[in-house]
Amino acid sequence: MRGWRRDGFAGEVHAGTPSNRLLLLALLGLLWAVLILCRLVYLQIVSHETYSRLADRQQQRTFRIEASRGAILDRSGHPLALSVPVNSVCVNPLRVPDPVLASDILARVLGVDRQELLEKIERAKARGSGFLWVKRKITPEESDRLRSLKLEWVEFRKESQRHYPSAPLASHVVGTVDFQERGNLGLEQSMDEVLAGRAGSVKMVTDVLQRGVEHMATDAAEPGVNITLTIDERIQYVVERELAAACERHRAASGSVVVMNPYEGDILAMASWPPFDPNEPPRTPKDYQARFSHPVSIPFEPGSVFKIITLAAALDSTNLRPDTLIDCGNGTFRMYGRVIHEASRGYGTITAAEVLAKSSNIGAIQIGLKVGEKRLLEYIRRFGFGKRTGLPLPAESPGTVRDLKYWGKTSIGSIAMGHEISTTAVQLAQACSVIANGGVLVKPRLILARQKPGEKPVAEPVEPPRRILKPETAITMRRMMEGVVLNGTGKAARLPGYTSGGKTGSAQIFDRTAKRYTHLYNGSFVGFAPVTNPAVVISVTLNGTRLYGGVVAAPVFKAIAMETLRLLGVPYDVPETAAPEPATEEETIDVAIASLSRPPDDISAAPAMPAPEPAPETPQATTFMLAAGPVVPSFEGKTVRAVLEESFAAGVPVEVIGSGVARAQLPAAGSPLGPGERVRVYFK
Amino acid sequence: MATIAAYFRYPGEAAAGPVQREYWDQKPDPYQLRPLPCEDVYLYCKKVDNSRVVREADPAARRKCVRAVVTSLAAAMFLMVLMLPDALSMIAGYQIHSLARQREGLIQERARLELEEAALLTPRRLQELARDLRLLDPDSTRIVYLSPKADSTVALNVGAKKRRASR
Repeated sequence: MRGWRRDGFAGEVHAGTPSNRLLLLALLGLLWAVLILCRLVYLQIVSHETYSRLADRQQQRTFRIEASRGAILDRSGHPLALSVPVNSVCVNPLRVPDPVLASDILARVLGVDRQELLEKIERAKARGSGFLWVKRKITPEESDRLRSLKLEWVEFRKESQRHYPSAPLASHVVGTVDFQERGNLGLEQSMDEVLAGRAGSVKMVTDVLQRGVEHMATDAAEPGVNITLTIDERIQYVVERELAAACERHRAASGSVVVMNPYEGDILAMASWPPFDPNEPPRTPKDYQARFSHPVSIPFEPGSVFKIITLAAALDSTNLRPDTLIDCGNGTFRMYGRVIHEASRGYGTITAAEVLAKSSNIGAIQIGLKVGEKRLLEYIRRFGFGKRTGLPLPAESPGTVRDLKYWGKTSIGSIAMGHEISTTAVQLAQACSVIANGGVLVKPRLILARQKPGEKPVAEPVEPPRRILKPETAITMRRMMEGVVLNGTGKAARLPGYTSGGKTGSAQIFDRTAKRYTHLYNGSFVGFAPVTNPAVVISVTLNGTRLYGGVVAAPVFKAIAMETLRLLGVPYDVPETAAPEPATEEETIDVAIASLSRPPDDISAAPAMPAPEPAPETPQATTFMLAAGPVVPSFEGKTVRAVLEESFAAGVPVEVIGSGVARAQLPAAGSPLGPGERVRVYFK
Repeated sequence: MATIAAYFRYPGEAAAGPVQREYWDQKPDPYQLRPLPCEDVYLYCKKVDNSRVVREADPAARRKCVRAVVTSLAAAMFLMVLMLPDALSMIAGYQIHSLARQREGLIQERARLELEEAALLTPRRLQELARDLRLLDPDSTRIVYLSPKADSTVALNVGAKKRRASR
C-alpha cells in the first residue's frame, strides 16, 4: 500500500517483506495446529477413558428384556396359568417440573392417592433420587390414557402379570406366584426355574428422546418353558365340583381327591378342599390354610382302605385264597390284653373275600398276623408308603411308616386295619393302581411335556414300572374289591353300566387336645373302574365327617367315575341297570377301631422309616411298558386252558369263542388293550 | 469524501506551508483533540472507470477454478458416501426400534386375547351356558362306541378313506 505523508514522502508505510509476513502467518498457523493437536492428544489419548465413559453414559442405554414366564397347560392345551405383558409407570422425580401438577395428573389418570403421590415425589426429590414407581401393572386403558398425554417425564416399564383364567380350578396343583412373579406355591414354586426363563438385555445408542437408534449388543432373553400337565381340565372340574358338594353336605373340615391313570401314572385330576383363588393374595389365616394341598402334603391314618394292602400281601405271600375261611368270632378279639371289637357286629366265620367286603377288623388282624410283621412291612414299603411319590410339588409328605423296632406288640393289628400309619391320598391312589394295572408300581406324574417357545413339545420321560405283586394276586384283588362294591360296604360306589371295585375306609381322628380318638372320621374310598381293564383309579377322602367312608366318599367316587369314564370314552362293560337299593347304615360301617392303636403322638415320636432303596428292576418290569393298557399276548395255537391261564397271569380279560385250539384273536398280539376291552379268542 | 484529514478539517496540499506551520506552531488548545499518530498521512480514492476494460481470457485460471470446484464436489461426494452408511443405519435403527415396539404391542395384544379366550372357555362357564341353553348329556343309548379293528384302526372313517383311495 502506498501512502503520502504531509511532508511529501511517498513510499511503503509498513516495514517488512511479504515473505516475512507469510512466514509469520505460517508460524502462527503451525502453532495453532500444534495446540489443537496437543489438545486432541490430551482428549483422545490421555483422557480417552474418561470421555468415552461420559459419552457412553449419555448416548448408550441398557434395557432389560424381561423373559416371559412359561404357561401351564392342561393335557389338552387349555391354559391354567399364563402371563400377560403389562406396563408399569415410573417417573424421574428430578425431572418432574411441577410435583403438584404432576401428582394431580397422575392421580386422575391412574386412580392413585394424590396427596400420597405428591409426598412420595417430594421426598424422592429431596433425597436426590432419580427413580420412583408411580403405579405398577396398570391396565391397558390406563396406559393408553397416560400415553395420550405425552408427558416427557413419565416412563413406562414392561412387566408381566400372571393370570389363572380357570381359577380356582387345579389351584393347589398349579400354585401361585408373588408380586415379582416368583413361584410360591404348587408347580409355580417347584418348577420356578424352568417357568421363569432368563431375562436378557440390549445395549442401544439412543437419541435425545431416548429412542433407540442402533443396537450395540444384545443378550437375548430366554422365555420360560411351557409345561403341559397330565391334568384334564374337564375331569378336574367334575372332581372339584363333586368334592365341594360332598364336603359341604357332610361338613367335612377338608377333603381330597386324586384321579389317576393306573398304567402310566398320569394324574388326571387332583383336588383339595377348601379351594382358593390364586388370582387373589391371601389375607386371612383361613386363606393360608386353604392353600395346603391335602392330597400331597397332609397325611392321615387311612383306616380300612389299608386292608387292601394287608389282603394283597397275604394273597401274594401266603396260601390265603379269597375263599379261605377266617374265624372272626363273635365280634371281639383279645390281643395282648387289649380287646378289639368289630365296628358293627360279629361275623362268625367268613371267607377272606368277605373280610374285605364287610371290612372286618378282626378278620384283617388275623390275616395280618398270618402275613407276619416283617413281611407286612415289606409289602407296605413295596406299595410305596413311607416314601415320597416324587411328584414335582413342594412339601410332599412321605407319610409315616415306622421301622419294625418301633412297632409295639399290637402294632401289626393296628397297621393291618390302617392305624399307626399315615399316608397321603396320592400314595393311596398309587397303591390302588398296583392292583388295577396287574401288579406293577407306577410312579405318579403330573408333567406330560415341556415346550420351549418355538420348538416342539418334548414328552416327559416315564420311569419304567416295577413289578411288586404277582399278576394273579392283582387280578384276585380286583375281584375281591369288586365284591366290596357289589356286596359290601361300598355299595354306593356301584356304577350303572360299568363294573367297579374299591374299598371304603373310616379312620377315627385323634383329638390332640383331649388326647383320645374321637367319633369324627377320615372317610375314604379308593377304587377303580371298570374291573376288567381299569381306566381310572380314584381316591376320595373327606376329613372330619360324622359318617363313614361308604356314605360320604363312595358317592363322590361314583359321580366322578361316571363322568370320567364318559369323558375318556370308555364303553359300558355291563348292562345299564337301575341303581341298587341304598345300603343300610350297618352295611356301610367300616370303622377301623382305634382302641388297639397307639395315639399318633407316640407314632410321630418314633423316627419314620428311611426311604427304602428301589428294588432292582426285573426283566419282566422292563418289558412291561404300558402305553395305554396291558399288552395283548399271542394266544394262537394254544388250548382253552392254556389261554385262560396265560390271560389270568397277564391280567388280560379274554372272551372264549368256540372250542379247540386258538386260531385267531382280536386285538392282535402286541397291541395295547384299551380300558374296558377284552380279547376275543376264536377257537376251532 | 470522508477521509481522516477531512474529518479533522486538515486544509490539504494547497494550503501547505504557513497554515501547516501555523497549525504546528500554535499553542495546543486544551479543548482540541490532539493529533493522531501518522495523521499527516491521508488516503484518497482514485476514480477509475473500468467499464470498458475487457477481461483477458485466462484458460489456466479457469482450469484451476473448474478443478477446484470439481475437487470440492468430489470431496463433498466422498464425505457423503462415507457418511451415508451411518445415516442409513440410523434411519434403519429408528425403523427397527419402531417395529420392535409394534411387535411388543402385538405380543401383548395376543396374550390378552389368549387370556380372554381361556376365560371364555372355562368348564364352569361352559356348564353355565349349557344350563342356560337347557342342554343335556346324551342318553347312554345314543352313544356309539367304536370297536377296534384288527389293523388297530379305531375310527370307522379311516377304513372308508382307505377304501376310497383304493378305488
